[in-house]
Amino acid sequence: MTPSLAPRRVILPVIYGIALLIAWEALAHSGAVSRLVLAGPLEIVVAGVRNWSELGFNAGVTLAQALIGAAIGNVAGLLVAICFVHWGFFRRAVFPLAILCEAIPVVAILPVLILWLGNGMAPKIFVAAFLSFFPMLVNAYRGLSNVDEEVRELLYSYSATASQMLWKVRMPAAVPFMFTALKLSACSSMIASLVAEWLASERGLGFLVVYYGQSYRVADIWSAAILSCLISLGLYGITAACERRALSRSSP
Amino acid sequence: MRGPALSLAFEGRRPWHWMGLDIVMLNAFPDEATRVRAATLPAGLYADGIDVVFRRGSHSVQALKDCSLDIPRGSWATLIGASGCGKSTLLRVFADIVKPTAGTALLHGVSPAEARANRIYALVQQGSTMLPWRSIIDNVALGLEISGLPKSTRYARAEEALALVGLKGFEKSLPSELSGGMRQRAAIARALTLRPRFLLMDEPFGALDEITRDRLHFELLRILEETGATLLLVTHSISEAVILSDKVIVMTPRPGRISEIIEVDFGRGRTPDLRGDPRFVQYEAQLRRALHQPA
Amino acid sequence: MSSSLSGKLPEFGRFPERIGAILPPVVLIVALILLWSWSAGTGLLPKWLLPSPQAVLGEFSHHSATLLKHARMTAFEALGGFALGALAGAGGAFLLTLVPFLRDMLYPYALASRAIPIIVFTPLIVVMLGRGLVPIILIVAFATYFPVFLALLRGLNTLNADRMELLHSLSATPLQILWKIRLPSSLPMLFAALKVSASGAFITALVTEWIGSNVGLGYLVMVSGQYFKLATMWAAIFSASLMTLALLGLIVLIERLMGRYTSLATEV
Ligand SMILES: Nc1ncnc2c1ncn2[C@@H]1O[C@H](COP(=O)(O)OP(=O)(O)OP(=O)(O)O)[C@@H](O)[C@H]1O
Ligand SMILES: [Mg+2]
Repeated sequence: MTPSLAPRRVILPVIYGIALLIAWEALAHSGAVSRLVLAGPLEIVVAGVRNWSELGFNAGVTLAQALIGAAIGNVAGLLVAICFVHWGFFRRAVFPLAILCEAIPVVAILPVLILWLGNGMAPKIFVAAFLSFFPMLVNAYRGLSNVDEEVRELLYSYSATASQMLWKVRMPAAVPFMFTALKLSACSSMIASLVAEWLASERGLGFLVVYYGQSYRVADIWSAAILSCLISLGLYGITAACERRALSRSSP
Repeated sequence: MRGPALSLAFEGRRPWHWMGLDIVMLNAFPDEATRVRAATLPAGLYADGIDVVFRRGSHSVQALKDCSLDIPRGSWATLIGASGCGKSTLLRVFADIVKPTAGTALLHGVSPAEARANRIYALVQQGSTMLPWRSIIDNVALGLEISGLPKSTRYARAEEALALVGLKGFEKSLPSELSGGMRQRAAIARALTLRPRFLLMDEPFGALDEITRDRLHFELLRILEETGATLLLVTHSISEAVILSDKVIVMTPRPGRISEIIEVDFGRGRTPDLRGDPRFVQYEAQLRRALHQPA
Repeated sequence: MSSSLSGKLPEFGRFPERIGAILPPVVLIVALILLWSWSAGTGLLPKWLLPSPQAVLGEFSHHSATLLKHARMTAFEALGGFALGALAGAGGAFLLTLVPFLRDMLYPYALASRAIPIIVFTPLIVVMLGRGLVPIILIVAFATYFPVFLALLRGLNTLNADRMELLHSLSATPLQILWKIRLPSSLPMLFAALKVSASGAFITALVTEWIGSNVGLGYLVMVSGQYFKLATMWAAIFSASLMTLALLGLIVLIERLMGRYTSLATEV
């Protein structure tokens, strides 16, 4: 958060992380926890390296589903938000409904989606898109309508057109809000993609975790689960970095 | 604006009770060692060679350079000068918010930190900060609440102070429901509830209309006279500076320093008729010249 | 865009305005249900795609005992996990705010934790703890914990300089600052996080039931899907949505009741 990083803010977390890893390794070797459940970090890394091609392929599948879904969901959310801003009647009719729909645990209707769309990538992409759609819709609408009253009056006095208003004022005002949604969707689309693979699937990291789980390959489960965390972190980190770049230009 | 509220506030009690003069006189420093030390040192506001340098990463801004002043106890001083010349910074040095890079600041002989710990000053901020989730009365009573006074006492005092600044009837309103000027008056009321020995005010009348401002000027002067409190006030208004001061401290920017101190000799018992006094016009002209002088 | 200026005016809750706000969505919902009913009746919508609304409603009345049993389980998991996670998250945020050492040590991990898909660890936790209530409540609690923890941590540490100066000049103690400024000004963020977590708690409970349980609405959805009992499946989905809405509604209600903290704190 603060630009100046005090040394203790770097050293302390590093020490803590290393200590945690050592304690974990020791715990795994002590026999206090069953070997059927806990694998040590070294073992997990070894398992990950041994399995890298299988992990890599399945990670690619999961990531592709997440990214395609997130792209569809976010673009659709933004478009609908733009419609909301311009057509008040449409918004008044649809927005409450959209908020109701957000409460539908859409991942849970996955069994239906599998019936509808088969058990390929389509239902996973759909779920990822659905989970990205609503945060983007809500946030983008809030951002687009978050125009300062005086700025709006100024543009009104210039008799600016609706599209000038959109591109010169509303869109820039909405950028921070959209990044909030993008960061949410970076995580949720990955979760959606992973979880959707638990049911009726033969590919993907989510499938691998369950598959290894059924055969009690503990180190392999850990390596697949940790890999999915790393991918999710990476997506989030990239989005956050883009946000910082985009926003640093507009505000000092 | 002068309503019946004002006369009510003082009805049936001696003025020094209202401001807690007894407390100011006898018990300003609960802590014995500070009390003993304070008795031997300058009793007003005192600054010697204050430098303030703000560092932002690699570059630094010298906000104050070698500022010295001595405002005797019970007298009134205003800081005036161009925007950005360091008036707020100097005030905040006395409030223990900005630590000076060099130099000494004393309030009644003790450091700003001790003064703050003993709660002998009250601050009115430039933005008249309110906590938006608290009603006006709760905002005004905040200082007393922090000091740990019982509820009945602090509400009684807060109501008196609100009446004094003409905000009776707005006790239950939220700050967002008030105008900027009304919030400023609430901030002034909050400072008054503390019955401070020093009043540090940063442009407290900035957003007020002429009429209310005039009324509050003399209201403030009356309270100061009754309590013997010392005033340090930041302003942009030349006439306000003349009316409210024994000393006007003129500052120049880059780096902020005190260029001139003008004594205003109107004594006590000032009235609105002051504006008609020929000396008032002379002081204004003198001050205007001082402000226009190149650094 | 000529309406953009006058569009500001009709925000007062006058009677015609309220109708204007309520009528369109209601009409839309009724129209959608009629369309659904009609197209199911004429066979335009095949049964395997979507059973008719009458069939789904019938499910509610005929199999209410079954639905209730599963719904009770899911509600217990979601609400229990939600409460546990929210409390732990709030506790963690206070702890890190008050103890600078812990804050410095854990802050990067706290930041990273929001991107961790805790739910992928379900198979592991099921291996560890077996199937049943405990692992599911634990996972729901984790899923709730991180958003609440992070939002409150951020809220408590996003300081308004003027307000801090005011309390500083009044010589307030750190605890007074926490109660009188930091906590109230973090409430808007906290409620935003609670709303996200509320639907998250139900989603997590439903999904973990797929592999972690053999009761609960999530389990019911999966099993009835496998046996093509579509009316049951939709009834289960609607029950889950209703419960989510109920929790969300409760949170929004509390947020409204605390309006002076939650709506104004970011302004002024
Ligand atoms: N916290 C800070 N960090 C860095 N620079 C500061 C800080 N506070 C003040 N300054 C700088 O110090 C100088 C004096 O600021 P100050 O607020 O005291 O001015 P001022 O005389 O009160 O102005 P105004 O009349 O506009 O209120 C300015 O140049 C300002 O940029
Ligand atoms: Mg200032």
